[in-house]
This record gives sequence, structure tokens and C-alpha cells, in this order.
Amino acid sequence: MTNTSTSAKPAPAQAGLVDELKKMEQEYEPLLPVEKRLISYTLILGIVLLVVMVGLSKLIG
Amino acid sequence: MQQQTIDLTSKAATDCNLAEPPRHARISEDWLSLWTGLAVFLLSLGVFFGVELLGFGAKVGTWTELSKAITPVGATYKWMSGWLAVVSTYVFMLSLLGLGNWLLGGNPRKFFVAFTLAFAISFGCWVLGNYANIAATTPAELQKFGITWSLKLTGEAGFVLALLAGLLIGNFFPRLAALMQEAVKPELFVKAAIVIMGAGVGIKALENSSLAWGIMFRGFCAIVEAYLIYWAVIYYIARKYFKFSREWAAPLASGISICGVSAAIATGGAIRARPMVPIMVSSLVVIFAVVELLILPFAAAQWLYKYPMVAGAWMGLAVKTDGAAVASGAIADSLVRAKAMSTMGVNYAGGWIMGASATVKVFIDVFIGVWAFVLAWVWSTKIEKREAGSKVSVGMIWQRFPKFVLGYVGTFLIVLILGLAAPGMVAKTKSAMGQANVFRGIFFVMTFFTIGVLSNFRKLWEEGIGRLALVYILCLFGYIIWIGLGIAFVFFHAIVPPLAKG
Repeated sequence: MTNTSTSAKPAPAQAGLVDELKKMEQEYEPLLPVEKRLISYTLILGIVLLVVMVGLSKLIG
Repeated sequence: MQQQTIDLTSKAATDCNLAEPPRHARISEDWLSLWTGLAVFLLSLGVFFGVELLGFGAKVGTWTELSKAITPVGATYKWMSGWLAVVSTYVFMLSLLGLGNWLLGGNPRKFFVAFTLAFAISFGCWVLGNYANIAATTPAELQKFGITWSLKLTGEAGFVLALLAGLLIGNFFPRLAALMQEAVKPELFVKAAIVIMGAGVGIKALENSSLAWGIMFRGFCAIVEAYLIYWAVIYYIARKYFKFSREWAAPLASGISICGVSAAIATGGAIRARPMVPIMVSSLVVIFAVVELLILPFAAAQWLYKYPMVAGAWMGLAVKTDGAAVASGAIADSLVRAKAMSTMGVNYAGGWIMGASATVKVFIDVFIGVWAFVLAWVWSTKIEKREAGSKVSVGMIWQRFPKFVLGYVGTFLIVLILGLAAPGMVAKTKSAMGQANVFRGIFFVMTFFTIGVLSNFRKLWEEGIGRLALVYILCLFGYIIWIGLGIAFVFFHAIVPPLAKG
């Protein structure tokens, strides 16, 4: 597999940050299904654990 | 084929310090903070052998006459004048931290000048903050000092003064700030202080074990929630509405939602972002942590004085960077107690609110490695599908593990076991920790000062990071702070600190 990471690009000077941010807006990377899954699973797990832990903390007092 | 592991072990990646790693560092700043804190803790235990090794420590009390502001902390040093105690404390800290700076590969001559200036200004602010008209909180204190009014900010006002002094120097006196650069190490100072604080929490656990363990359990719960609920939403907002690339959105989400600088750097390493990405995010984290530090403890004192532990946990959950979070906890501790005293007549024991902030923050730090591991795995196997042979190592969790936490847990357990095994020794342990706490206070005040020096607000505009700043502001002040408050309230509203004795 090829590495599709942007890490291979040379690090631009900080002065190029504004350009980089503009470019990022123009070349939008849409959310991949795996990212959507990561977000939703994390959030669901967080809410489920919230209920469990609130219950546990009340149990412990 | 030889397997490659993802390199996350660089100095820059493991430390919260934004400065470039020195060329000949013999130790990481994280390990150094552990040994520095432990050195103070172990020396304080000399009390058990009848020797007050740290008895010369300069203790600052509330004052109206400057000559009575400072006293040596040890009973056997009563002969020593306040100023001699200050000089002795300075020499001790210069030697301890100078050795540390040398191990970090720093320049001893530069450090001598830098530390002397930083210590003098920080300690001066600490003394000034203890002036009776600023610090006195109770009618008895007003009467004792013969004054009719006080700002009732407690001695911790010195922290705020140190922060303001640092901000002034960092933003308006760049040459002076540059001169002090070698000693501007807020993360080292605060982590060393946290190691010493572990012993203090151990004493609190001996005094009120159910409350201490309750704080730890609730701190753990709060953190699990913070990781899971904060990160996902911030990442989604950054990607969906601000159109950030994955390379920028992940470190940004970690920086805003978890532990600021170290989380941004860890995430950057985990997803193989270019070094500039976490560094830019970290610049924002440091600057806004100072803004939070200047606002949140005062807001907590105003509205959360009936829920003091909520205030403490909130500081740990909402304020980014270890230094600013524990510093906020220290200010909230004094302000909330002072407000509770003046409005409800309730005198809560000191230290518990800050203990909640520190406990929450320590748990946050512990989980950074786990979270970086999860992200590295998702990125390498699902998103970027890295080269065959490139593998995410479980060892990353250890590499990411903040080593100073070992010191915090170690000092906590030593004190706890000592107290449980020999209850008769608790008084001596308290005396020892009283001496260590003098140095913890100085580490704290230097943390405040150096955070200020490090925060150059002009950098925000010079580097054109307005859009990054916008998403940071929106997420931090529109989401993180309120969710953090909600989580802190859910888990901590039912517990309060014990009342102060006497």
C-alpha cells in the first residue's frame, strides 16, 4: 500500500500558513465513512459510559 | 522484512515544552520533572531522622510589615532571618534546577541569569500577593493586622500577580523575556510541583480516605467522558464546518479537547502530521490557556462557591495545559473558599479543590498515550493504510505515558502506606510535607510567571492563524467549557471539602 499521508511533503515556512489554510478550504477532504464511524462510535460510547458511571458514582456515594 | 514502528518518541513529541529540544539532552523534561519533585520530597523526609534538610525554605505569610513576611519553615531554623531564608531557598533551587538544566543540555551561564531574574520576580510577586490588604480573608485576620478592608484574595493572589508580570514581560519587554528564556519551563515546574503534591493528597487520604478515593474515582469517570464526548464533536466541527483537513483537524481536536500541547503533539505524531501542525495548534493552546486562567477561577468563585469540588474538577477539565490547569485550580481553591467563607460562613479546608483539578489533569495525561494509540491504529489501518511493515506499537502507550505521573502516584502511596503502617508518624509526615510544600509553592508561582512570559499574544496575528484561532475560540468557549462544567457538576456536585480545623 502506498502512504497517502501528507507527512512526505516538505514542511513549509510558517509564513505559508495562510496559503495552506486557503488551500485546505479549496481542496476539501470530505469526511470518510470510517471517520463518521469513529465520531459516532466514540460519542455513543461516551454517552453510554456517562450513564454507567453516573450510576456507579451514585452507588459508591 | 524488518518492521518499522511509528516514531513517536522524539523529545518534541514527548514533552509539553514548545522550545526546540536541546542537542545534548541527557534526560527528557518529563523524567526531569519526576526526579526534581522526588528530590524535594525525599529531602523533606529528613524530618523522620531528626534533620530538617529543607527547614530553611522561605515561607511567606500574610503581612503588613515586610520584615515579618518571610520566615524559615523549619522549627530548628528559627534563628534564621527571613532574607537569609530567601537566599538559601534561591541557592537550593538554583542548584537543583541548574543541575536539571544541565542534564537537559542547557547553558549553565544563561540559566544562572535567567533563573535569578525569574526567581526574583516570581518570589517578589508571591510576597506582594500576601500583603494583608490583598490576602486577608477573615474578620480575625483583619483585626490581627489592624486593617479595615481587604480584597480577600488570599495569598494565592501572588500567582495572579506573577502571571500578570510574566504577560507584561512576554508581550512588552521581549529582550528581558529572551534573557529569561533558559529558565522559562512552566511544564517542568508544574510537574515537579504535582509530584510533591502527590504526598499532600496522600495526607488528605489519611485524613479523609472516603473523600480522597471518591475524588479519584470521579476524576477517572470525568476524564473518560471528556475524551469521548469532547474529541468526537470538535473533530466533526473542524472537519465539517471549518473544512480542515484530517491532518489539521485531529491535532486541533486533541489540543482543544484533551490536554492541550502534549495531546496535540501526541496526536500529530500518531497520525503522522507534519511537525508544524501540532506546533501551530500548541501556540494557540498556550495562549488561550492563559485567557482561561485569567477568567475561569474567578467565574468559579462567583458562581460555584456552593459546589467547591465542581469548581476544582472544572478547572482540570476545561483549562488546557498542565501548568494552567493546576494553576487555575490553585486560584479557584483560594477564591472559592474565600467566597464560601464570606457569603455562607463556611470555612472549607484548603487544598481539596486544587487536588480535584490536579487529579483530573493527571488522569487526562495518563490517557493521552492510550488515545494516541487508538488514533494511530485508526489512521494507519483505516484512513491512510500505511506501508506494509509499518506498524503501530503497543509500546507507544508507554512512550506516551507521562512519567511525572509515576512520581505523583509514588509520593501519594509512600505517604499513605507510612501513615497506615504507623499512625503515630502522621504528625511527622505532615511536618515533612509542610516543608516540601514551601518549595511546591515556589514551583507554582514560577509556573504562573513563566506561563505569562511564554504567552506572546502578538504571535496570534503575526502568523495569520486567525481561522485556527476562530475554531479554537468557538469550540473552547462555546462547547468545551460548558460540557466540562456539566461533567464536573454531574460527578462532583455531591461532595464538598471537609471543614478547616480550628
